[in-house]
Amino acid sequence: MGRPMSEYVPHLVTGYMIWAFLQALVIEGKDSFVSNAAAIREIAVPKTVYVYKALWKNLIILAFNSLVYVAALAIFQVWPFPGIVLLLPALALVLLNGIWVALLLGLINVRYRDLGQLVPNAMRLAFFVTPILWFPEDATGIRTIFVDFNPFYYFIEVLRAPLLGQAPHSLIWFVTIAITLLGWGIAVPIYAHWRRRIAFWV
Amino acid sequence: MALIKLENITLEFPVQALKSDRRRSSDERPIGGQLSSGQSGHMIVRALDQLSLTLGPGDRLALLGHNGAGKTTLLRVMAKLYAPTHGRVTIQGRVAPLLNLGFGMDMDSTGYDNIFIRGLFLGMSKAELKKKADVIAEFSELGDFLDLPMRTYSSGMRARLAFAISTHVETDILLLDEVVATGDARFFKKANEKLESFARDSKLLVLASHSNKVLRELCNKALLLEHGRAKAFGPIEEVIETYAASTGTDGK
Repeated sequence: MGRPMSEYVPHLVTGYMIWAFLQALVIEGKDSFVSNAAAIREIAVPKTVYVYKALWKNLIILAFNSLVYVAALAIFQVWPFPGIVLLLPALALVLLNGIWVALLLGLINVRYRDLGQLVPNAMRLAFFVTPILWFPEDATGIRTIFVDFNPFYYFIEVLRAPLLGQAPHSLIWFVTIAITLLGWGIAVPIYAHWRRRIAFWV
Repeated sequence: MALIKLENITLEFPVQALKSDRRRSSDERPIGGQLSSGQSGHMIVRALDQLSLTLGPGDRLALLGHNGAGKTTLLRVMAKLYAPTHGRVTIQGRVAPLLNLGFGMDMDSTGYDNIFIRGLFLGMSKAELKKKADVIAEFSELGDFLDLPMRTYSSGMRARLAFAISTHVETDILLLDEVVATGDARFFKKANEKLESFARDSKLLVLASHSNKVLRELCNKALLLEHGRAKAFGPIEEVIETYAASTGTDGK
């Protein structure tokens, strides 16, 4: 690798913490209707409540996991200020994406349950092709597609950079905002059309 | 002001299932809704068929019918959980469903904690629950068992607690699905009194059950469902008799 430990370990610890969060948003998001079947058949609340429930739960887990991040920063004396203030808009952006992903995958999963088996496997694969264990700059040749065309890279980076005291590149902001708009644009009409069917499918 | 108004409700379930070619279909249909084949081989279950009904304050409606007649489906339509395929549903007033006794209960939490968990699920506020927790605890008659985890409870004890919580929600409409039956005689009497006072406050009650005794004691009107259609609607005694005549039992 040729990188000093003081650079690699904070990169890894921070990246892995974020990955665990993103992965949970996707995997639990797709279950947001299936795993609340009892409630969906009992109380009439907007189905989006179950999505927020999953988001909130994983935010709390993220807060606990961040203890390791704080320790790594202390040991390797990384000072994240003032860049870390950008964490707030970045986190808001990630949560907005968590909502549309959960609505869309949750809806598909409640209708076609086989998807539920596929998503965790896809996420395991995504873990290795996303720059978490390695640095995005180290990808060369054809491998750069795993950085440039990997949406997870942009969402990891938009959180990781502020956490390590840097400002995310403007391309990172641009792509994450574009994906947010696109995702909402796709998920909302589909959800609006099929949401009344959820109670029949769970 | 409690009001339930159903106008020409039809509800169809699309079911992802292909007809088996191994089994010959029969014309006899003692149970279930109406089955038909939709486009591309999907089966469609018509669970409710052109149902109209108006219920006002003080009405206590009994739902009668064979297995799969549409009793629970109708309750879920009234709880606004199922949107009907055709027709219009007007519900005024707060609705408290008591369809699933296990809902909103965490088996590893104590009974007392579950008053709060289930209460919050059913729409009560924390402040409201703090005020009512003791009343609910007393009504359930579980005493010191409330400090034990729910998984140690018998099904009757769970039913008591679930029932106690649901009936203490500030509500205008209470929907019950075959739940009072689990309690013992003493609790049944208590539950009866609670539901009667509920009806005296000119609230609305809908109860699905196979026990004519329960229905007679609690309800003043009845609706008989058959394959999703309304077969009879009127005073409880008449409808029970019609149902008994159609099944060949004596209706006791």
